[in-house]
Amino acid sequence: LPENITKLQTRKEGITMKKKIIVLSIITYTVLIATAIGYKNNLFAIVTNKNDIPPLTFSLPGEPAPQRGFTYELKASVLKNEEDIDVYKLISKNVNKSKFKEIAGKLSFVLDEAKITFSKENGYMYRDGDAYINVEENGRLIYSSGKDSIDKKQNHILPSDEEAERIAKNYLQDKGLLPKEFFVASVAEGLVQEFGNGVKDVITKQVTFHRKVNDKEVLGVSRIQVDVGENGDVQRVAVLYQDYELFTKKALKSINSALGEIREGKGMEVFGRYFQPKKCIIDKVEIAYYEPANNEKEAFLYPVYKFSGKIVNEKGEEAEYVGLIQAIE
Amino acid sequence: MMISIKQFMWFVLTLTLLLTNSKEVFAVKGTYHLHAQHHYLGIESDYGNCTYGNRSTTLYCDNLDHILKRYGWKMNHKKYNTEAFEYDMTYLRDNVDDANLFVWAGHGIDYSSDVGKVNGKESAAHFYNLNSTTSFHPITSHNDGRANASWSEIRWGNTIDYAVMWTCNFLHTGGDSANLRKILKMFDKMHIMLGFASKMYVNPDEGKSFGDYLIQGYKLKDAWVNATLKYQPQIGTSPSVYASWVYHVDHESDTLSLHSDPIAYSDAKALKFARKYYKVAN
Repeated sequence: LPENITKLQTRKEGITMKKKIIVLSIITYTVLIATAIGYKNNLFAIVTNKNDIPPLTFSLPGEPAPQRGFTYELKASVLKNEEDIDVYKLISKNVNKSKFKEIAGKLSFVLDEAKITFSKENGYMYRDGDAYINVEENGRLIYSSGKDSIDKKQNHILPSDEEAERIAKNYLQDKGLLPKEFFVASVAEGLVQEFGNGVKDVITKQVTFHRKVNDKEVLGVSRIQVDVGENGDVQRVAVLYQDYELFTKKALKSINSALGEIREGKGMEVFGRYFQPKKCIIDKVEIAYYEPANNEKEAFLYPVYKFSGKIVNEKGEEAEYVGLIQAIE
Repeated sequence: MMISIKQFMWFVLTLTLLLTNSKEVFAVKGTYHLHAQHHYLGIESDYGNCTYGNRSTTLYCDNLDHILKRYGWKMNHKKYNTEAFEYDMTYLRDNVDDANLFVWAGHGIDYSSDVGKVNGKESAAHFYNLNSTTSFHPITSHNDGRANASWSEIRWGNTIDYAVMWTCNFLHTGGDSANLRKILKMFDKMHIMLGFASKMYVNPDEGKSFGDYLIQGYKLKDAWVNATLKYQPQIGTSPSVYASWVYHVDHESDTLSLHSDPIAYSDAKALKFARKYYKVAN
């Protein structure tokens, strides 16, 4: 009898162990599947990074930077230190093929669907002879009429700056491409040709629109550009911004701490002309937003300090200066 | 005729290798060289101490490399950092003019800057080494000729059809026709050179966008302009960023495929060549 009982107990234990293994396996698979689904849908990013924002990586100038060691003088009188600032998350327009066709149609393309291509690098593309349109999934758009490729003229007669501005505004409004927060930042030479004999000819005037968010300038890739050519032809349009939504509020770094980081060579510094400065005089400090080009890895409108002023060298020569540094920790 | 199992296995293996490398074997559409300087500062013992600062330029080349390979182009060689020498690009050795496409990515010195007095006053691609893996220029000698490949030292076109200078200022003339002439003299049957007529900002992802436009069949100049539009930032100050291209007039619309060569530049043929620049950001 005791032998039988022992066998029975062993069998029972075996069954219990099997059950345990099955239950454990189910739990493990459930956790694994949940993890995979969560990862795919970026749920962990929301949970763990609720207020976490990856540091902004500035694109640094490819021209020589002066040797460090020059002094910085802060002469700005606008030192109103704000405490918190809104941080915005960039949102995608989720452009799909049908949305792309709709946008292309608005820009007068008659599409042959078989010729629409898609790449993860540049989104939807369509070419019709020399003309083309490209719309990324996030909504950024580039259009070219292709006229500059076939136009061999050497002496273009262009509209006045005011006329170019009017044409550009009307065009964008007509196509629903000009959000209210954009304003005309400049009208300048767009495409210019210079022949081997040195003769220069301006082919387009470019009207550039920048935007303000919360009354703060948005720097980085954010902009709309329209190139207006002879006879008021709109030759190229670049809509290079993304929509946004409020993400969180963050405490601002102090101006002194931000300037300290600039002194250490962090952030982005742009010098109007290259020479070795003796000192840098900062006479304006502003808070702006910066829209990065890496809009997947750094999908935010980052608050930045913008230090503006001039650099001065030993000879007393001066050049424009701008320093940018992330304004939140 | 009977074949053994061993022979059959060899046959299968050879066939597999041929098929996996079929792009390389059967469909090389063109060749390219990549040269870049990323490390300028002395962050490692074998690097120099050029104070101009490190830039992610090798990554730009790598991004371009991945896409071009996918398209069936073949890299002849890649020379980064301590392996990238000034004399490879200039007439002293001219080790780059045996591929269809040449790419340089690194710092670029402007002809007008205090340190740009290379060969009198010329813009140049800047290196930290002095044509050596162990010898670097001191911080007081940025303009040492061995650290700068400048306009008048370059003559390309023997094999190079397209040159990409992902660097500041290389195509900046300041409106001076003498500078333009120096740039055009680099055209020894080259078709088109892409670059910047101003400062530019380094974001290596631009290489992915540019490469993709190229393989999608866009004209080189359009691929260049579109990628720079997407990646060059505006920071609310002057000067603006200008994408630029210099070309033989019959080749401005070239795509990334092989075309017959144009004539080399000469003063008598000056009108067959031109430069364009386009404001991409300000």
